[in-house]
Amino acid sequence: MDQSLETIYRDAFPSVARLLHNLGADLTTSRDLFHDAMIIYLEKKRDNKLPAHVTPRQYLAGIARILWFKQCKQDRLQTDMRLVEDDLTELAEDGPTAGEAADPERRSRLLRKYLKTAGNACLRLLQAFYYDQLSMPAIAEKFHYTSAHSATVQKYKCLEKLRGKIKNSEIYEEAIA
Amino acid sequence: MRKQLHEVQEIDRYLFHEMNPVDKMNPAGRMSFADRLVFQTRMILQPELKEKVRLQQKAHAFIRWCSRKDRKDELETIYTRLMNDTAFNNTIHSIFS
Repeated sequence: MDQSLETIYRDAFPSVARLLHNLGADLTTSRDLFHDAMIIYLEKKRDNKLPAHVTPRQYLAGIARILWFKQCKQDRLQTDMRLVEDDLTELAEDGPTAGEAADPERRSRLLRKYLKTAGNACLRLLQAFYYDQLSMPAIAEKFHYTSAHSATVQKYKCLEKLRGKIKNSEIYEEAIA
Repeated sequence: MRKQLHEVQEIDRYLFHEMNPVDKMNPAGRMSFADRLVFQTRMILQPELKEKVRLQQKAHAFIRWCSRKDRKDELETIYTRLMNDTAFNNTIHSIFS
């Protein structure tokens, strides 16, 4: 468990919760938005893109506030059928990638379950490289490969395997549709 | 590396360039302008290559989704542990009471 993560959580969550409560959010929504803000914070930190002279608490409060207003806007759009088309356009434009927008959460969850049974070690290796952005020597050490080269070869094998599994899952979905 | 794996690597280079053309941290190396044009032409001529690019893009989206889900699970665990701390729990509940 990342101890520094818990320290940031303990320090920032009460003030973010207070801010969101003042804006009208309940505890569950505040917690969920805080978690989303934490993920954004961690990804910006990984990419060295955090603004200078801003504390984690201030950054998280700013992001959580934006997420709250974004969620309110989406809620309003979803209740107004006249604006459904705009909502869909916005989702397509604002989503992290076209791939994610086309992948509803439920499908991803099922796919994840299916893929995990097929190769959890592969998925961990791919996550370490593409998400955590560890170097290949670091990955070789962490996953006990003899060299960075063999870890690289394994990484591409895993990516090829995952690509194949995604293709098969699409064929399966089409067959049962 | 066998030929198919070189192709996986090449698709990665293309995708990372498309996502972030100025990123110096590009994990698979930069793709030159000429190489990109050649690759894009190959995708037009070879629909199966275009399909592999699409699936590989989905694989990357899936890896990111899994990582974010793992992070969320970790944060849920921290939340549960902190809420078992009486002082922290009282602070949070006093805000929403």
